[in-house]
Amino acid sequence: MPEFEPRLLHRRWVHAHEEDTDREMVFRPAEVELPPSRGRVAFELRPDGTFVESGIGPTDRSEPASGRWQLEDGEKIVLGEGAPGGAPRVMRIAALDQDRLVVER
Amino acid sequence: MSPAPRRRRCGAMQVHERLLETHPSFRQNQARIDQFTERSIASGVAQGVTRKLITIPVVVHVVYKRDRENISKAQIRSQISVLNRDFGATNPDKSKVPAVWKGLVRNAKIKFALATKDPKGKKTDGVTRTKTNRSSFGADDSVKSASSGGANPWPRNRYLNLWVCNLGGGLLGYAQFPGGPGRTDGVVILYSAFGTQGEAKAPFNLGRTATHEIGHWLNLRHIWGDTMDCSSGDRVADTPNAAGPNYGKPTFPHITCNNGPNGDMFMNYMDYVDDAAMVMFSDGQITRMNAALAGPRSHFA
Ligand SMILES: [Zn+2]
Repeated sequence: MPEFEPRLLHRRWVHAHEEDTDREMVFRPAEVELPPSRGRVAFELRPDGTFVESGIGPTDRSEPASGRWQLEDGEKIVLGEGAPGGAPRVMRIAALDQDRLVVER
Repeated sequence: MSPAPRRRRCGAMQVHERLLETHPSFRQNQARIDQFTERSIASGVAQGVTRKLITIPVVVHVVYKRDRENISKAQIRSQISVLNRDFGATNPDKSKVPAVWKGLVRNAKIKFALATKDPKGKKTDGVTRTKTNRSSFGADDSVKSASSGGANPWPRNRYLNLWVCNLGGGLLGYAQFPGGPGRTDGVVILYSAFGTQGEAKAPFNLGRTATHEIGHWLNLRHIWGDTMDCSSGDRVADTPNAAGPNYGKPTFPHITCNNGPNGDMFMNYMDYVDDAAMVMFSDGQITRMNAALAGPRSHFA
């Protein structure tokens, strides 16, 4: 199991698909400026157990949704109901620090 | 037809409720258009619509604050040329289509031309220019209305309205399906993702954002079916089901959703790859666009 500080999760993460590999997805904090893209998934994990996300909508507008999230087995982010074009519902954390969240596909 | 998404219904419902709040007829229109699409394709009415070439008059509304956003006529013309190559399947880069799908590439027989008459019948070059004090717009349709710093559309039954402006948040463009409200009908594109010259910037400098958005305007869905899993498709039979968007310049094959050996049709205009990597509509997508031109967009046929 990777070692990380769970409270580092509490922020808004934006999909930096440029940094993805075949097996991993990379997210960056919203403060990091990313290049233009046809669409990016983003989600904010809040300490109170709620999340808000912005999924990719069917005509390229972002699609807002919200729900509840939890950290399972200390390594899996599990998102409840949300946007159809949002982040994966279960993301196993591969690495986490101040400026990068890496999850397995 | 693809099954409805099996999970995360609440999010979809939320978006839907929002649309319903603002436009109560949206659900009925979409359902009616879906039924028509199926029926008209089965009967051949859809396919019949492009027996002759269809020309769609285009008005480009340039909305700018900084000078660079006030793009040149040459940049606008370069975009129209791209549309005519892409919808006519005369784009030279269609050679990138893998052998297995080459047979799906064909001329959609849809042409785009800058309008020569304005709504009042006066001569025009098909371009309106509006100075705004807004540094950028969001995906909230505000660029489509003079009262919110944008430019009003021309009648949607006679023109394809194409707004070009600065979009915030890294957004390249957005569209509206047939069946939506008239005052927001059309597509919006970032000034630096429009055309092939002037302000156009790599990797979105080959005019494909407009090709993609006009695909939506003619009722095409993303090839991954708008859920981030394999639960829904794009309602087109010859585009393989895919898990989610592809980005950048993928290498063939990219397999998801048990769609091997050929994998995702990531070189399709309705994926999310770079301009240089998207090079085709499929036969089935063209038929679906035909159905839009036989039905909700029949004013152009
Ligand atoms: Zn799209």
